[in-house]
Amino acid sequence: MEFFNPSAFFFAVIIPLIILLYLLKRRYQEMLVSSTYLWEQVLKDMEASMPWQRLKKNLLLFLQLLAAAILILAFSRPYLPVPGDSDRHIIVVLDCSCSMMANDISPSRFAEARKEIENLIDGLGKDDEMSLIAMGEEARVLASASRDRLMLKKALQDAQLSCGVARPEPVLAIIASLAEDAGNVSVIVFSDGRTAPVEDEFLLDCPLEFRRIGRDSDNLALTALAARQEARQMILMARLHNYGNEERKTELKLQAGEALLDVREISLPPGESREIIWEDLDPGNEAFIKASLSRSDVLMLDNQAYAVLEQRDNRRILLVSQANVFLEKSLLLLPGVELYKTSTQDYEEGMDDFDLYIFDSFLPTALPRGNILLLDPPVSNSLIPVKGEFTGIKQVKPVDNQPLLNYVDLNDWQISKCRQVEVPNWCRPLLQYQEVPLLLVGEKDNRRIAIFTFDLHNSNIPLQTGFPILINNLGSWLLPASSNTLILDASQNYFSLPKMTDIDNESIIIQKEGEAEQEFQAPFPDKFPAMAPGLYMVKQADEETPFYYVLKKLNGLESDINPGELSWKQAFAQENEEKLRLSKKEIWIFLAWMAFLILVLEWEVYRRGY
Amino acid sequence: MEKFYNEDFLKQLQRLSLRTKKLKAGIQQGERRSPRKGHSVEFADFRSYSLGDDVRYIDWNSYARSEKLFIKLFVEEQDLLLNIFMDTSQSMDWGQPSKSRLAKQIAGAFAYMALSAYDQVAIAACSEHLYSYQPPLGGRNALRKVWGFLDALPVIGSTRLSDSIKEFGPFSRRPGVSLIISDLLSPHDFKEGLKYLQYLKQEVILLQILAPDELSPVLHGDWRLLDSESKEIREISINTALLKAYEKKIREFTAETREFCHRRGMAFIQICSDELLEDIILRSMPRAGILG
Repeated sequence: MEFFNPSAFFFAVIIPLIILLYLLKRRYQEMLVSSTYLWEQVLKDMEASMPWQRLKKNLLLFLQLLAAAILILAFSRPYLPVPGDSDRHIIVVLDCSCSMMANDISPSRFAEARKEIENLIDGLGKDDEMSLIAMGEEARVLASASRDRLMLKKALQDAQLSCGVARPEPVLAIIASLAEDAGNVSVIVFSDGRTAPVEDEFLLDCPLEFRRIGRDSDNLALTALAARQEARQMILMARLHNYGNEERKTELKLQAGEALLDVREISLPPGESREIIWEDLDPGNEAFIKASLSRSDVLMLDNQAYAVLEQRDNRRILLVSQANVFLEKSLLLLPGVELYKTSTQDYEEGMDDFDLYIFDSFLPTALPRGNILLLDPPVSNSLIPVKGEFTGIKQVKPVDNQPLLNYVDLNDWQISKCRQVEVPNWCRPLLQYQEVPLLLVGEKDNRRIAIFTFDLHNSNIPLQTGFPILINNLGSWLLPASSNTLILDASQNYFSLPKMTDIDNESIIIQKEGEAEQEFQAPFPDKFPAMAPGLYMVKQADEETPFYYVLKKLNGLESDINPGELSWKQAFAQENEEKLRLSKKEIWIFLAWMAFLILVLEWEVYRRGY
Repeated sequence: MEKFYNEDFLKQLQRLSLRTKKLKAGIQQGERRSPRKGHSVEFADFRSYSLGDDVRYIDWNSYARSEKLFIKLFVEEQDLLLNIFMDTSQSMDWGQPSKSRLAKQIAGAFAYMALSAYDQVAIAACSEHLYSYQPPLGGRNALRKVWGFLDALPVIGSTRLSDSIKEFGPFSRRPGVSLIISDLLSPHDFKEGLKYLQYLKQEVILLQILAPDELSPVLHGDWRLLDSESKEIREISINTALLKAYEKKIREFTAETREFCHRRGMAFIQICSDELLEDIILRSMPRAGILG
């Protein structure tokens, strides 16, 4: 015998309590008798003969203890493995990921899976239960241990396809909890086998049946499309992948609005990908470029892609320095910047329309509005207290793993002399030597500030390969892109408008590319839906040009629609014919009846006064 | 007391008398055969004449045959002393019907019988002590006084039969019959008292009266029993097993008392307070050989 709820044995404390009740004083009725002499004699005889006689001979106590023990046993829900296939609990997992949209089975893999599950519902026995779980980015329980076929079918119709990946881990957690209390549990997964890998270890004591949905893997996908503005030139990159088993030919079409930019005939061998780069495209004033494949395959969603073109001006940098050639050269390598130079003497406070100020061994009393890169801070400045000097730095060490130091090689960096500064609260050191900070970054009064505590001329750093990379990283951080595009990945179904957006209209319009407009009235919701992958354009009702673009991408994993085996099959008990035929027969009802009968018997015993 | 008895019952009582096992020497002339030789009409024995004997009792026929003088002896009929020991402790006032009421009826009936036979009756009221004593009275005229004494006996104190009987010792003048009426329900021993009575040359009749609820109690559940004499409390959970044990105990107690009395040549009879007086006196007592 095994138990579903062995924790109920904690109730066994009730047994000593019952015994205690028998030891406790009772409520007595008073009566005058001629003499207690004979009663005393009788009690003395009974007690003297055996110390435990009273307890042992108390039939009521015995019956109550028996009833309590049986009730506790019933609470622990014991079960016996009995042969038979009755009282099954079938947990059905339906893959709702993007790859199930593939139409290699008409009308789609998802519809086919639903049809098979409906057949399964129709074939349920009288006492069979079914749970339905939708497997997408998250697991959703559509129906839990239900015998109601109509309800199960309705729940099945409620299942929605998502453009995300199928993640099995939350599903396995739900199955574990559903299977914990149930008897004869079996799991049936309807999927094409394309799911995210399982990292945690699961071990479920129920058999798994995998019903693979899907036949074909014919899918040619546009896996990436990216545009980059370089000076006056736009560079566009597209990547295609052939997930099929045969070589495929297609036309790749590039469009900017209504204008066709380019059409290319592309042939791809099976399992290969190819990148195509355009450098001479002129999209005109269009905000985005759409790439599409002409050839139809079983998954159409990944046959088109969008690239939003950033409409941005060059960022302006003011370098205030006597002379710093190394820095100048490195700054010029930053993309999309205009570098202006002035000397410390010529610097005026009115120069405040720059995005970044670089002060070399100089700092004005009144700081300008833009971000600041300070080199070799002067002794008395308003930004950072200088305590003295430090000499002979032979090794520069990073403080933790900072993204700003990515790909920066710090070997052989030497500094002959640097300022010893006190690190203020608003910034943190990036580079240091024996607790002496060498490079600090932080944010103060809404500006980003980076400080080199040494003069570049007092070091060999400008000659090192890591220097331009460091300046590039710092430049990217100090000149953040003010993009009007939001990229959503497949798991994100909602987006918010940027906080700084000035919306002076009562309504905004959101239009998915190629679909109808959707109008939203003020007050606007915090989040707007973006369920299907594609490009969403947000504009004010009276304006033509969108002020915000939301690009929802597909998860690249889902383009691989080749039906396969479940990678997490080993989490389940191996199918065992004998085990499948054994069902767990609960016996608590029988025990509860037994306890009830004993209580009735106890009442009768009490009534008759045995 | 008269109200207890009807005429028929009293007439029947007159036909009964106490059966004594041995002849008791009395003081006054009565209707009862005495161990002494006297002047009744019933011949008892011969003995040789000695100087001073009444010449009227010389058996001249024997002298004619043997030329020796013999004196004829006759049985002297004398009175008997009946001592009635009444247990007047509080336990006797318990039960339905009351034990003390029946005890007084029986004592009254015995007194009537004795006085009718020209015997003498003394009554001792016993509880913790011998707290009241009616010295021997004789003659039918004494009946009213004896009944009055019995009537006036209060219920008081607890049972210490042996102590009370020992206090009776100094009042005991001569052998007789002692009738002890008690429920015997007391932790204090009564056997010593009975033995002492035998020492005082008393023929002992022990009459135990118990109420029906004492013989077979009808109780169930948890009870706090209050002893009517000692006022002690005993908490007890009564179930069938305990009731059986109690009944067994009272049977043992009776058997032990009966055995003791038998061994010592005492008469013992146990009666229930719901029995009819007529049944007890006219049937049970003669059957037990106490009355005849």
